[in-house]
Amino acid sequence: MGQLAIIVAVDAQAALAQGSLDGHIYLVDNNKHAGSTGQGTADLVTHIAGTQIMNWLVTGLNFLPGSPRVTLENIGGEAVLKNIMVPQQFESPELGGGRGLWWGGSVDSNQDEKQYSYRLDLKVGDTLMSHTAQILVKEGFSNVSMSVPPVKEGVA
Amino acid sequence: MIPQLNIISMVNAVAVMSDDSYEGNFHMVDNSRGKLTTGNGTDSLSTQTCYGQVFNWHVKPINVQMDVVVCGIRWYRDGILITNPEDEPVAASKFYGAPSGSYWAAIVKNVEGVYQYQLQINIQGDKSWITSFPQILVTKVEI
Repeated sequence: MGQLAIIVAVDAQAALAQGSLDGHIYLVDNNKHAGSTGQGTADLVTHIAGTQIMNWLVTGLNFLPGSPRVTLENIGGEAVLKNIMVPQQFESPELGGGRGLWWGGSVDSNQDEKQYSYRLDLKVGDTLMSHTAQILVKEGFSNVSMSVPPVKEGVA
Repeated sequence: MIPQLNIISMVNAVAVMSDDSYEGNFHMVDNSRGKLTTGNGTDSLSTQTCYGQVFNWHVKPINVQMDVVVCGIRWYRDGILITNPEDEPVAASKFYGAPSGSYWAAIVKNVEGVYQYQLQINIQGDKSWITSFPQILVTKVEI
């Protein structure tokens, strides 16, 4: 089973200047072979078929000292509320760029093929901003567990 | 002062190796303020820039366990490879290693027009050139 990764790139300075993530957030996943659409856009729809663990990795586009940082604070929304997606925050000393924290999770669905939205709550500089992304669950499968204990649960 | 320009390339390294191609597996985004900048999220980013702007090219693997670094850049004018470094639209073009991640950087020269380029990517020790031709549009307008 390959793990699924989603990179979330944010132009923090532009988002703060505009007061919105619109036009300043880009998502890419590694599940194109499973049919994911909208790669490189804000409208990524991640197709999920079979047992899968998801990981979200956030990056800013501004690296100079003093530039606003971007961190993922929570994952919520429809898919979490319906217990389709179970996101949790984990700690890793290998991820220094993200304060050693990252969000992962699993998807648990025994329902028909359906698209669900989920919400990424991002801290851009000192401002909280949210973006709604999508998953398309293509077949029912059982929940899987992460191999490390979480430090935080996602709040729907 | 002209802000530095960062271009982040997100590469699905596993797919690049299995497909033996970057097509569909390479996405570029930048923080350009240029109104003429287009193609964010695609493999054919066109970045408006100006004389004196510092460019930084970073690459991020979607599969985090992969070791992926940008290790070279070559330039084209009107589709023809530029072989003389003096004819390139950038100066001080070189690789920088940094604890937070390595990158390639350069400074835009006092030129005008459209220049295409290709990045050379090192995936797990294998170097290859991307298949697309992103470009810079150098204008007299300060970005």
